[in-house]
Amino acid sequence: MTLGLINANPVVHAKKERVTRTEDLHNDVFKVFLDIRDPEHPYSLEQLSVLSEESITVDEKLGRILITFTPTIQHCSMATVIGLCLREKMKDYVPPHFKVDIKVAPGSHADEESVNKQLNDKERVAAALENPNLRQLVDECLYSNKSNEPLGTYASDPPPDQSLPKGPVVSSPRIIGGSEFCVESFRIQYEIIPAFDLIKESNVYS
Amino acid sequence: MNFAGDFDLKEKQILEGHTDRVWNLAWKPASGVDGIPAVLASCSGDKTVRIWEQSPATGSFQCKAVLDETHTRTVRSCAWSPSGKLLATASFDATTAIWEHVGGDYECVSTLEGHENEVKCVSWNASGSLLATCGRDKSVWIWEVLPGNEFDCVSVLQGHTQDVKMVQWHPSMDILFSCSYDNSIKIWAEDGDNDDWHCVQTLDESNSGHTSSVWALSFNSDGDKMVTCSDDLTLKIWGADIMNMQSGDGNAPWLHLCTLSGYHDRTIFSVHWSRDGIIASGAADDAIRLFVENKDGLVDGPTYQLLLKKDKAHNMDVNSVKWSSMENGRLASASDDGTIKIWELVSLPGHDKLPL
Repeated sequence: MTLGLINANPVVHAKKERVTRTEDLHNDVFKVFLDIRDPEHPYSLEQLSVLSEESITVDEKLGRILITFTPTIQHCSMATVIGLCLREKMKDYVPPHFKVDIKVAPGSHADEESVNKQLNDKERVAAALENPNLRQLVDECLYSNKSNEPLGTYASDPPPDQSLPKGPVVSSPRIIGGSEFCVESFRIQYEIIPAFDLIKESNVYS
Repeated sequence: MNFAGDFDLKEKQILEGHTDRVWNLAWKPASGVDGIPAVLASCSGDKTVRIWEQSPATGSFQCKAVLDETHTRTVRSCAWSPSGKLLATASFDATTAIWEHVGGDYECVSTLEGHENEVKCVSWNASGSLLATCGRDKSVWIWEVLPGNEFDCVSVLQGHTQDVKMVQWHPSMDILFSCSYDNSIKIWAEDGDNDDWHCVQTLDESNSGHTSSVWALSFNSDGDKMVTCSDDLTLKIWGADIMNMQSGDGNAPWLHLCTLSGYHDRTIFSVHWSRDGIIASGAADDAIRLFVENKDGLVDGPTYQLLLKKDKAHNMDVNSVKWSSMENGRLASASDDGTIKIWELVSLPGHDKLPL
């Protein structure tokens, strides 16, 4: 089994020129997502075409928001992590009575139904976000402010919470295949995935 | 009970104090009657349990105790023992705590460990001799209650293929019901008297069961019917031949009687059947709905009708609805908005309480 990235070579798009529109909830929600970075790469979800302006549907009258996102590859087990990041980011920006549904774009994932079910089960989402390892990864995706550097190497990052239980995590970067990202990948595969019952696609790792 | 005419659910009080969503509620048995003030327990994402007591003088509920510094994660469910002496609390920290009211304070007298991850529900049987817990590890545990606040695990039940969301003992028999993220409801009974518990029936899609996660279930007062609620936006009513269940061989199958669909457009998290036959539901659209049996003409078995819908009962999802076991017409609800509300069912016109 290779300790590699789930998608080592994503297609990266240039950031789109933003056309100024009248302020509305749709725009506000989309702006919120612009800087969420991918769990594996130093690019934002927008740059990886995981999310676009079309991903968000807002019904202000009913108080509903539907977000559909496109994982970079069909077997992406990061899909649930990305979904969690979206949920967590929404909490601070959307009025409390709004209902948010998050789904993978139809046809974009091999386990679409299973991923969608987990992402829209608030008890499962709440429990997952209480898991310290998963929480840390989500926080890194949402709050790391230098989007071109590898995760975990920012001077301006908040210091790691020493009270969090440390599992079998490699504490110093281990260079495998010439990339520090592999450390993150290792941690994700062994710590976080079991915490959320993410689908483990064995063929992805072979 | 005949529910003719119009009804309303009147908001009597809002209980504030929790600093995160309130997941569940439990009325203390034998309280709210015979001069004993009504007591309600609530549990929350803020990792605490709060005990609320009604003041005999003013009629309003006040927070009498906060059970904290025990659970290290969300407390998902709480349940009083039938005598009201003990309170069991189930938490995402994988433990179940047992609390006793000792001289004005609540003390954690025992901690049940064993589940591999989040415990989602705890339930006492009718006599208080058994406790059941369930969780994300897909298992259901049965514990025997021994003297001196000792608890012995007598069985670990495997069978569900996903996260088990709720367990509930039958109101009069030692038969256990569980409902799950795997869309099914399972019924567990003991073979003889030797701690050999096994699944005697599964209610799933193949026998008119739910098509998505089943969040909760509740029995009517006779114990011959139960209502289940689901992420599939329906309530389902099930019935069993209770005489058959009680006599000898014990097992009569539960059959689907009725599905209530088209009333909810978001996940139904909680359902509770009152002593006087009203089914309350709490859902992700912030509303509380009440249903009663339609007594006009039996078609192919009982049918149910909507008695009333309380829109915007809370500002966010309603996670739990519980009728008081002692006072007819009194309902408590808990929400993601961090509050608990006490309601009174009144008939219109006029504001008379329901006759007891």
